[in-house]
Amino acid sequence: MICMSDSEFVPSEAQVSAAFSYAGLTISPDRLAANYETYSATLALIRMASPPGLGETVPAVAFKASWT
Amino acid sequence: MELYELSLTEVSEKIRTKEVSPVDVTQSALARLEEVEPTLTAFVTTTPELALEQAKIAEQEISDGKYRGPLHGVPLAVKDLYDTAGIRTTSSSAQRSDHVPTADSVSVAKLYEAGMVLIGKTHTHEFAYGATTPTTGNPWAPDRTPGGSSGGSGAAVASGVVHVALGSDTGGSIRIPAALCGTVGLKPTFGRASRVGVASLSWSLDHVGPLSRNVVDSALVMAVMSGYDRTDPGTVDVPVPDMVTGIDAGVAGKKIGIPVNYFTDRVATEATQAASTAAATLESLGAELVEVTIPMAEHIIPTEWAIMMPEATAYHMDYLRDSPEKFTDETRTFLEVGAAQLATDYINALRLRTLIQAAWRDMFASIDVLLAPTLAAGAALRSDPFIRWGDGTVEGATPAYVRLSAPANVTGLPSLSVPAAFTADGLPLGVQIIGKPFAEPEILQFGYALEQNTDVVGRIAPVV
Repeated sequence: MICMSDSEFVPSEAQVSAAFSYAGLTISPDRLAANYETYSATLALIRMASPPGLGETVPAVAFKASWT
Repeated sequence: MELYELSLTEVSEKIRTKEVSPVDVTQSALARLEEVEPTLTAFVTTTPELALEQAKIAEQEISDGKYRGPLHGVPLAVKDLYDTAGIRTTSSSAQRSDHVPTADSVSVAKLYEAGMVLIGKTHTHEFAYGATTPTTGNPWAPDRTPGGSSGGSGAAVASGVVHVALGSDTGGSIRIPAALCGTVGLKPTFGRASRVGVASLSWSLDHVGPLSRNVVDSALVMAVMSGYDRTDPGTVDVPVPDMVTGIDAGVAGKKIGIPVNYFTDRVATEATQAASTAAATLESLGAELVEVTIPMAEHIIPTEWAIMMPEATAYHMDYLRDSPEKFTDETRTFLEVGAAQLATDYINALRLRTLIQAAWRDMFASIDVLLAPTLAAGAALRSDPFIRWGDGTVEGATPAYVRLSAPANVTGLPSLSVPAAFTADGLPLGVQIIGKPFAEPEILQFGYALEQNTDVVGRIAPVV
């Protein structure tokens, strides 16, 4: 059974900065600081879609092997 | 009465019987455009010369006995996300300010084939990534947002320039402007119509469909746009039904789900009241109201954003790395978030989507359709795009609007927004009817029943 995560994940500014660097984006320190609240709040919301207990559930994907 | 003020059905019949020419109809649309566009800025590009050329061709074809059907010679506006051959297609972004496609999107090609006449390309919230369309005013109150992302299309229809405009809907972007501008808006079932040639926001959540003045207009246009397309892997190879015949079948004996959660949380009293009144109207016509609990409600919005954001970033990654300064700051910030998201969070959201779909299928076992407010509130001020709730909390307009429209994107179910009321301030409110997969004809019947038994559908904003 799936459930909501017990503790809310909120990435630190350093974690967000590292993720941007790894993704190949150039984000200035000023820009990072100015938008950190939006970045962290949105990533926290997104993490809520990754709850424990998903078990054997398969993803809803569109790939079909048919050639027609 | 000017031609643009007639309903699409009336105009279409006059064209068919040669009482009026498509040229007359197009000139009326262009005259209305000239009146309202300085106030609304609904269009990125207008195409008066092309429109008159297409109208003259239509006139000649009809004169020669080659009548194509009820959309022949009828004006159309197209969201600037849709490719149009030889016509600048910007997605309302500096990234594509000079982009001129060489081919039409599938939907535009089909509607040209049906004989429609292009008036112009309408503004979108940049790349459809937002629900306010800052460039454009709401025809009922130009200092307020028309919604978005298909805000220009909503404004073009509500102001009477066109009967039909195309939109796209990833989290509500057809239904949000439809509700805020007082038009009909149809998001079909995921897979009903091809998205080929339409700039993507999220391949897994994008839908194409119409905004229109009346319900039957959406039925006519959606039927033409529909159909399997092997080049869009999201489309489903199912027959396209006649969406117009039987639209007046009524709702007697149908079961309408009335949510007791989710669609009731943080919703303006007037929006709740509009949905209750619509439900009562349908009940008076013989439908049965059944209270239902929305399953997995707490997972819907996280799932929507967790799927949409990385897909949008993937689509825009080259721009984001090479010319990020050409995005508006809002769009750039969203795209940056998507780059920082874990792949596992994306995949788990897709797994949640599987569970949400199954839970909603179970909920629909006891009902035919679900009826709910389209949006939590009416149109916000363009200068202050926030919703202020009674408990003192402040919510951005985009997340506030998307909350009630996103369920139909996550589930892929068809949803029709129909004008339901006006606020005390004179702003439109909508209700949405969500149906079972590929049940567009059924939700259109509900919308038609509401239209026929209320006086708020089909109005043209005066634009003052």
